[in-house]
Amino acid sequence: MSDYADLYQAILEGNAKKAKEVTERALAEGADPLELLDRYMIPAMDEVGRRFDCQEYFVPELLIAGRAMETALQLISPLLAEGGGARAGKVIIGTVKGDIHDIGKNLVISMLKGGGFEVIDLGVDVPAERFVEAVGNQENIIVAMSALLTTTMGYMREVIKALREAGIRDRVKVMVGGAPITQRFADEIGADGYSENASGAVGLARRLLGLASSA
Amino acid sequence: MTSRERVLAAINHREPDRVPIDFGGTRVSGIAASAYYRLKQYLGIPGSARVFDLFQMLAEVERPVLERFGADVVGIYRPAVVFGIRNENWKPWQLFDGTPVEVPGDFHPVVREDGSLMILSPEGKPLALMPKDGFYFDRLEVYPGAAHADPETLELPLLTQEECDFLAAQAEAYYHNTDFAILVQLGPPYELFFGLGTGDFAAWMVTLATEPDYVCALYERLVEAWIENLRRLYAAVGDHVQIVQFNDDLGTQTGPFLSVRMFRNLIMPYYKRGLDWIHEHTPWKVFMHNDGAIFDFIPSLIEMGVDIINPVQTSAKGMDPARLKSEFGDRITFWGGSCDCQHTLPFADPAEVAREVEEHIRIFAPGGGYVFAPVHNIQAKVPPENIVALFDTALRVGRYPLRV
Repeated sequence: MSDYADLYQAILEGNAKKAKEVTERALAEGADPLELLDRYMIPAMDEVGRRFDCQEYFVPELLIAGRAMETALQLISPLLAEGGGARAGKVIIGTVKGDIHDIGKNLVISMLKGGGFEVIDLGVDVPAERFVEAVGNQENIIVAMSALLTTTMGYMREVIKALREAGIRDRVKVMVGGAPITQRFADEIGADGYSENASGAVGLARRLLGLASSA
Repeated sequence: MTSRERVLAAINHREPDRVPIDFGGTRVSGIAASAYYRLKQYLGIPGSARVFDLFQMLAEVERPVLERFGADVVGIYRPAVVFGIRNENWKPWQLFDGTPVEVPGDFHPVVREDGSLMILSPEGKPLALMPKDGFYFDRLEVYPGAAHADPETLELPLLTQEECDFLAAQAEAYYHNTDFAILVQLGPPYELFFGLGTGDFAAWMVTLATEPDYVCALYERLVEAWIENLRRLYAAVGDHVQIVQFNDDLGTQTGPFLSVRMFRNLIMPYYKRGLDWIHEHTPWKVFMHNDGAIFDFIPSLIEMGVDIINPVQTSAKGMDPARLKSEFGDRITFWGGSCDCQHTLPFADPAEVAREVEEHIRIFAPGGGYVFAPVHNIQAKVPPENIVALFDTALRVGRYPLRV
């Protein structure tokens, strides 16, 4: 396979136009979409996450990188589905009931997609039963909850309770995040993991599903 | 020493007789109506809670409560504080948690099928939504940055003569009939960084990072309108007001929202233009509300003319009180920073609240440059015992000379 390091660079720099051009060229030249994903795109977003963690990158850089990633993903996703290309895993995510704040949740979604995850976004103000419905009979997937408010964070406990009552708690991993959330709170309510930021959420999701980190 | 003298002494980095206290003097140091109602019951003060800020569901903090807690600051407001709804013809209403409150007569939220409440504009446009059992209205409008509005044709709100007269009357009455320090909020029509992204924050961040020419054209218009409003406001209220407030959010809880470099290159010059106007034409002190982990921005904020930083979210990363005070204490006033509002104030016991308040006052208060206030608005469900511990500790420990 030819070297498409330009794709890695385009995503890292958040240059959506260049990411699109390189991906189109690569596909026209017969590149393997799965290899584009694994060799350039996911590593680029891992590097974005690393730079975000050490404060070389901030929210605007993270979002333009996410946009460049999405642009390239849109081109290769149909081909991946055709070839049965495996994704990193699946995450069902939402801001819990009573809370309609979504900036943090959307950052997490952007990074998870960048990390190769399939993300089902339930949106905001999500009641426990919608999380339960969305899980259905799937297993080995992640349920991720967000809350901005001290007044709504307690609802995460209700969602975990609802998963337990529906008999599906053991089939999913639960991760939580949001401004007032702490590791201690996550432990208290019986979540499987907590991340204090969007890039950490990707590593956490990989760990919870027993996937090797590609970083 | 009067409240006004006390606050001004502190802002001028002198030690007053005691640490000044702000409770409800701004829309970022107030209290949710349900917590306020329970506080009043606990204190044995009769009456309901009047919701003067329908967006955050904040109560007007009344004189008996201000006096009970030694509050030194009051704010003045336009006839319509939010959503274009005038604060008049008060009528009874009930919050989702059953708290009886008073709301403006023109507040007519639509109850939707899922039990949520929606505020519509007179033209029927959705303005804000409160989920069922929720605590706030959140804005549904898409602001110009998120909407990528054309700067040329953008209509910006200018203060009307009626609004100016309304503000002038309040300022004059407070100035002559009370000794409170008087604060007014007047920033650019939209916060230059955070607020402009309301409605689609991610889209606005992408614009900010990739279209500097567009962003500057938008900022030109906003700052032009801001300065015109400042001119009108100063002509109306003059020296009756001591502090002017503006807001933005440059911090997340774990770090800066954007790089200091991007802030300095793109945003700071425009804020500085407005603040320069204030410092050249008025004696007002400039209060900036800016949550989160903003330590790295503080030198730039001082440089652009900010006198007071709020709310000093000491639980955010890098916002250690001792470090803030030693690095910047002689150049900026800290307004807030009293007690962690996400963990201690809502969930700890009164003794723990008092312990944290005492520790923070001992760090922030020496040499002045400190106004005590809750770290942002006191939220619903915060127990009244903790609110009493918060302010009573400030009154007890905050006497100068401090016993450290």
